[in-house]
This record gives sequence, structure tokens and C-alpha cells, in this order.
Amino acid sequence: MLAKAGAFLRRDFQTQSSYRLNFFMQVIGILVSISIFYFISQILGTAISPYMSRYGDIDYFHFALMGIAFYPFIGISANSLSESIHEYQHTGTLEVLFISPTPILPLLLMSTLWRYCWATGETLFYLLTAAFLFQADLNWMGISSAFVVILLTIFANMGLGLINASFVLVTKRVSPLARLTRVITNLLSGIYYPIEILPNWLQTFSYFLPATYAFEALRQTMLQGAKLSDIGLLLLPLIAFSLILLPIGLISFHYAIRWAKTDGSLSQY
Amino acid sequence: MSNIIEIFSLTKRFSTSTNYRALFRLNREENVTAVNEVSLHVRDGELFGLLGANGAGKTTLIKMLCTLILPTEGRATIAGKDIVSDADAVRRQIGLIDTNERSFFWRLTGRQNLEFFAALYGLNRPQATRRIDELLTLVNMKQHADRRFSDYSTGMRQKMAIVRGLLVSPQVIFLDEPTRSLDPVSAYDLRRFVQGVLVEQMGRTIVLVTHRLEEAESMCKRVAIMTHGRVVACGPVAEIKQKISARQQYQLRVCNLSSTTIKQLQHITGLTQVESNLLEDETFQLNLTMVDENESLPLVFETLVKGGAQVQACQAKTVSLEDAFVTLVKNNAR
Repeated sequence: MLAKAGAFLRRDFQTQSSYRLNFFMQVIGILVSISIFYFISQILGTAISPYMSRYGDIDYFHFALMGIAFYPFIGISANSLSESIHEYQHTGTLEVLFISPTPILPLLLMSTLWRYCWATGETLFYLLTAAFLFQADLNWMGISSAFVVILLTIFANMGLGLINASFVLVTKRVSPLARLTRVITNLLSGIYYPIEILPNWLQTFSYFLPATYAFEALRQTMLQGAKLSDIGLLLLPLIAFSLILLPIGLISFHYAIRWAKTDGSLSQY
Repeated sequence: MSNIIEIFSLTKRFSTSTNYRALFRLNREENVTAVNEVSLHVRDGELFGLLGANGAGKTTLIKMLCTLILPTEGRATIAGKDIVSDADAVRRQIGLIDTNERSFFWRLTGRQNLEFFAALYGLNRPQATRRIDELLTLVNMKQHADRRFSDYSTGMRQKMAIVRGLLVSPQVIFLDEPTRSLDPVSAYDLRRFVQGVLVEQMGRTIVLVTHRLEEAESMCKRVAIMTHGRVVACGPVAEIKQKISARQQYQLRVCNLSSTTIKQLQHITGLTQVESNLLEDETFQLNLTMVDENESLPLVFETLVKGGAQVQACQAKTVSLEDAFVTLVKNNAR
């Protein structure tokens, strides 16, 4: 299985490196994005400090950095499976992959590995650029705890990812649930601003999103130096989301595959 | 020789309702039968032909055997493994070579594509490199292997599909119109490779799906002919042709043939069809169809001689697989 995972990574690396301009545009995109948040932070000064007091003496730039640097993992864990299926349907490769002796779900999970590797590189580039170009004060010792938080976040979102993938298999369209969760996560999970800014009734919805706990835990580890034992209460909801959503996702995926095979529409788009 | 593929009353009905209605099992009655109670077997090490017009159900049947479509009724096994309950085991036994040139990653080179699929099929790097080189040489593509797949011609893409299908040399190989986009020389080489190497040397079982009847006739000992989802004939090619040619046909070249003699010919017992054409040199071509040549042919000659006609040539017409195919398809038209 490791050799197969390597083959997927190699394939995606080869494909990605055939789009060289795209790579440079992404690097430039990250630099621009990080600069924008730095300058917004300069304007805001200490205006929103009361909302961020629990992280200690940090400015808006540090707060937003954690959101934008780690956001790719949230998006990938919820959408990469469905995006892979959609891509295979469009390129006409789905059937030839499904006919191989590799079981379908591991095959699709391996198809998403490159995206996780790319996201890891993207996150590190954000953090290093922030540290070296904008003198961000980060707790690098907390990176291993952040890694655990990311892993749990991926599992918490993967159930949703499987439901979205099921939707693509059946309807051949991007799941409306994927769009909805993306919008709601952007609005309510505290990527760009502390959720305390939101009205109380809206804040309530934030607690139903895995990303809310993930960003809070990541800020505590990377900005305050919190250890895993200190953020246990934030990790429990992520585990709970995994336990609830993963079985639902696996069941829906199983039935979606069965439905597409019954309908004969596996490779249609 | 044991059977490696066994199919028992395999049926596939597709719902014609929209996705959402079908999903919730509404409009159950609205469906189309693509494969209708097909039963047949393919022997281990056999080169078996599957023939049929467009929409006959060949591809649906193959996709069911490849575990990509679930049957509605009936069952089938490959190497003793059920295509539904033991699909993973079935996939380890089969390979599919089709004409879908989109089934590759177009941004990668031919070799990169093959290396990826080799890994997916469990070959390690040295094995994969050796096998890929062997097969690329076989289809005369080694010098083009490092070009991007999108730059290949249709024929080159077809050759790559063939190489991919043969990477691990599975026990059963489904060839879906493998020579469709190949030039005559490449098609000839492939046919020789399939017959000589895959079947005779390696003992692999081949199911050849083709529209090219002369290809099926030259390669396959047994064929099945499908029309409207049903198998209307299955067996050795010679046997199928014999069934169709139960009524014998003769072609005669005759001069001095009068219209009275033609009328007399039409009344001969057992002669079911008399067709005469006047040729440019004033002679006639007579096409005769009869139930029993021993009974009718002497009477034909007697009538012709009595009528003053001179028989210049007489030959029995042989029935080709194409004749048999057309007859079967027309006889089973809806």
C-alpha cells in the first residue's frame, strides 16, 4: 500500500510540476495575502485587543495568520475526496482506477495525499514568511501539538468529506453541503476574527463546527505555547465529531458507490 | 478444459427516470433492458469473441463482468469468484483494454502513466520498468514513451491502452475493440501477439469484443452474437455459420436463358429463391437458394438443359460470419 501511495504522490507531483506558472502564482498569492493581513493589523492597532485577550498580548496579524495558514487543511479534509472523484469523472480515469485491484476507498484517499502534502508546504510557507518577513512571534515548540490538532481536525471533517463524495457520485455535481459548510466555516469558525465579535445567537452555531475548536486549539498551541494536556477540552469535540460523522460518511459512501454501479453511471459526469 | 467465466441468466435493467426519482425508487416500471438473461461460458485459455451491433449490450455485459456495473438479476463468476459478492477477488483476475483514450493522465508522459498504473497493480519499480520496456517494444512505442500523452495520436493512445492492459498479464483479459484505431500493420501485429503470445504461450483467456467480423472469424474459435441484450447465437464459428447456411446457395452463370425456363425453375420443389441478373455479356447470373441440394440441383440442371440453356459455371456460395451475423441480427430485430 505504501508503494501505491508513493505512486499517487509521484503522479500528482509530476502533474503539478507541469504547471510551473501556477506554482509561482500560488507563492505570490500567499505573499500578497499575508501582506494584506499585516497591513490591516497595522491599521487596527489595539482596537480589537479586548476580543483577543485570552491569547495574551497579540495583535490582529497573529490572530489572522493562524486562520489563513491552517485553513487549507479544513478545506481539503471536507472537499478533497469529492474533488478527486469529480476530476476522475471529467478526465475519464475513474473506471480504469476502480477496475484495479486496489479497494475503492483507499484508492480515493491516496488520491488526496498530494493535497495534504501541498497544504503542509503552504502552511509552513505562511508561518515562515510571517516569522521572517513580518517578525511574527510564533511558538515553534508547539508545532508538534499543532500537528496532532490538525490530524484530529482532518478526521473530524473526513465524515463530511465522505458525504460530499457520495453526493458527487450520485448527482455528478459538487455537493451543496460542501458549499454551505465552506461559507459557514468562513463566517462562523473564527478564521479571520474572534467569534466573540459575533452576536450571541450566531456564536451558538459556531460550536457546531469542528473548525471553531481547531482554530482555537491551534492559536493556543502556536501563540501561547499550550501543551496538548492544556487543550484537552478543545480536542474532545473534534474526537466527538469524528465518532459521529465518520460512520455516517462511510455508510453514505458505501451506498453511493452501490447506487452508481446499479445506475451504470460511475464514470458519467 | 474448465470454464473460467460462467454467466447464468445475467440481466441488467437501467432506470430511465431522472437520478433523483431513481434514487428514491420512484417510477419503478420505467426501465430499459440492456442485457437480457444472458447465459454463456468461456473456457480457460480460450479466445472468445463477443459480437453485436451498436447498443446490443456488449459493453454493459463486459462492465458487469469487470465489476463496474451491478447486475439486476442472474449471476456470473470469473475463476470461481462471484462478480458481486467477491468483486475485489474478481478484479485481481481481470484486465480491460478499451478504446477510451481519455482514461489516461494527459499531462504526464506515456511512461509516467504506465509507471503509475503498474504501481497500482502491485508491480515494484524494477519489475515495472522491465515490463513496460518489453511491452513498449512490442507495440513499437519505446521511442515515444517519454512524450506527453496529450501529444500522442489516437493510434498511439490505443497502443498505450494495450500496454497498460497487459502490464500484469491477468488471467482474463477483456479486449474491447482493440484494433479500432490501429493501422493495418499494427492491428496485424496485435492480433498475432494476442493469439500467439497471450493465448497459446501464456494460456490467458481473452474475451474479444469487436465489430470487425473478419477479425473475430480469424481469431476466435467460439463466438457469441448479441442483439437487443440477448445472445442469439453462441458456439464455434463454423457451427454458427452452418446453422445459418442450412439453406444452401448456388450461383450459376448461364446463357440462352429464356423467361419460360426461369418460370419453370421457380416451380422446382425445394427451391426457395430464384434470382436472375442479365450481365453485360448477355449471359445470366442465377442465384439459387435451396433446402436440399441433392434433391433440387439435378432438377435445376434438367430444366435448364431442356429449356435450351447452357451452363457455363456453377459454384456453391460459402456463408461468411458476416452473413451469419447479419441474418441473425435481422431475424431477431424487434
